Amino acid sequence: MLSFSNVGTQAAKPRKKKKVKQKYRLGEQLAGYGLVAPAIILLCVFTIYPMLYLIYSSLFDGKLISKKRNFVGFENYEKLLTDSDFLRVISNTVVYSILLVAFTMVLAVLVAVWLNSKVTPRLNSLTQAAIFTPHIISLVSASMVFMWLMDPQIGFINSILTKLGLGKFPFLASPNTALISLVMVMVWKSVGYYSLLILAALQNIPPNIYEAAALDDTPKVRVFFRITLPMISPTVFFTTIVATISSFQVFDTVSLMTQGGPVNSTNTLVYYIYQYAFKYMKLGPAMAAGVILLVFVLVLTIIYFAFLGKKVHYQ
Amino acid sequence: MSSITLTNVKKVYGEDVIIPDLNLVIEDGSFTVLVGPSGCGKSTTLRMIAGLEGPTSGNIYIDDQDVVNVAPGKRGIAMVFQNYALYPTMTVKQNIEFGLVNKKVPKAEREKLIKEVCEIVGLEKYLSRKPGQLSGGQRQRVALARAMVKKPKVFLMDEPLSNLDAKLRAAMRVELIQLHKRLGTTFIYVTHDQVEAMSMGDNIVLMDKGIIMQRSSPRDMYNDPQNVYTAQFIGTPPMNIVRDLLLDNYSIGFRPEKITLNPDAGEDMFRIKGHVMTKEHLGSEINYSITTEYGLVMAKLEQEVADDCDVMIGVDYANLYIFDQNDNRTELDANIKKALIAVSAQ
Repeated sequence: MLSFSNVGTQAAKPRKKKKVKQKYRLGEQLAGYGLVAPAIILLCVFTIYPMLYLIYSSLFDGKLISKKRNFVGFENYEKLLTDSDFLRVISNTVVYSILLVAFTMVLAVLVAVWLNSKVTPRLNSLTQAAIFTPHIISLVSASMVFMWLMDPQIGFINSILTKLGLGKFPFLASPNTALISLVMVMVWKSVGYYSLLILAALQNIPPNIYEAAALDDTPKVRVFFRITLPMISPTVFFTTIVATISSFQVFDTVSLMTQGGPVNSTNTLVYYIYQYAFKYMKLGPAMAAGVILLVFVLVLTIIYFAFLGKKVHYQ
Repeated sequence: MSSITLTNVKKVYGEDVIIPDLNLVIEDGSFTVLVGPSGCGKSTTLRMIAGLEGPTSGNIYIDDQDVVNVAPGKRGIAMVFQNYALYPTMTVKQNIEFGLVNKKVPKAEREKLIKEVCEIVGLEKYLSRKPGQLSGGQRQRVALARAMVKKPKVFLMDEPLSNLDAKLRAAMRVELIQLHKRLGTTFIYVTHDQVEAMSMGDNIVLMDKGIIMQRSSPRDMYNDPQNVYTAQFIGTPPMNIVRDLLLDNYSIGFRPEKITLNPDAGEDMFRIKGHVMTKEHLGSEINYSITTEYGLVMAKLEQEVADDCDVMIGVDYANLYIFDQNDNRTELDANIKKALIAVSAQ
């Protein structure tokens, strides 16, 4: 009797169990989708849809406020790529990015290495605090201060240069020096932040490795290039890409300090888009320029992810 | 061909005195093991010999040269670290080669040296790998190869085997002993593990709180401990120390493996009454913990007695160690023997 009833229940059980399991799984799946839904919806509404709409409307002619639009195909792109002003804008943006990122990263690495060395502990901690301050100062105030400092006639820097007998530097007033002046301001503003990130990477290097290098009688320069730099390279690489992407999108400094001038010498991609969209009300070229910016940033991101896989892992 | 001499070496960190006054001569070609519990100053001593840390005062000589102001890389030493300290961004070959390139050794000679060393430690197949792709044992070999390739006058090893699993550790222990015989160089080896110290060193320096407690061969360390600290540090389970049995705060010690349980009545032995509390079978031997009126006594024997029974613990007078009120070893003279016979149970 007992054995019979056992057989019966055993045969019935698996089917029942399976059903329950499936139901549970479906519920679990729904819960999963439910939990990611807010993020997905926000991403779609504020990122994916605008991106697709940007690409779509770059193929149309029209004004920002008018409803009437004509399909023009790639005409907006053709106009842009044959426009010498736009090519100037592209070259400005690239030069600005390269100068800014190169100066910032080299300075940030050097500052971080010095901060990490702790040869002068008090001065180091003071510097660490001081160098981060520009990052938390509003860009508007910083720009104002620098415009005063860099004023060609009454500016503080030029008054010092004159006193030293070095002559005046035109800064933002000359097309030849305006872009590099903007770079200087942004280097000042961002070095602290990036050097802090690199400092964190430096502090993660096991001290034993430096001891091993000391026992191997390694000259200091070689220690830096063969040990320190390779060890922090993932962080340096990451910060370089992030800095490049953000420098490609520069707008506020240009808008605040030069409005693209003099003679278009500081006009950059995002400022150009802003001008076309909101000053000249020509949406088509602005959208097309936006797509070109998107491509630039996309390429940088792909490079970043391609190299990310080759990052060093140890222990 | 190098001896190392430390004279009046003192090391202080802030207000903590790590090493009060250390005097030590390490003979050329010896395999010296610095052993002791963590914080006893053994690693600090090694790092001072390496030059990674300077002594607060005192002198360190390699041969006859005072090296206190000589950079680590110029001392002619090589060091193997506990976590290996390999250069993670370089391949195995670049790791081994790094020191040679710094010394500007010509390429052909470098290749020859690397090949030689890699044959000894068995790394030929892994030369192009990075440390992250190697197992713990292989990394250990790279660290050894990197030290050997420099042909140093002295090898310093800071707990090099403690990151390996038990089986590999035993195998590497034998390999290091063979390596020492083959190279004939001075080895200084730091460990907290008394088994490692006893099995590897021909010369053991036992330290506690920066002071050398005893310095002798492994055999003397075991057979002839000069104080209670040494007696209890070496051996598992440690030597039994029975206090409050003799006058003048003298104490007696005997090793768990030198005990006879329930000896014959006629034998001339020192005896204590006890009761078996626990019995651990280890295979070849049994560990007993026995309570007596003088405290707990451990015994490690092949002999088997019943659980939870009264026993008589017997120790030959020749296997008894007598320590004075300062825990230093003293002779078992006629007076003490008389006192022992008086307190010995019948």
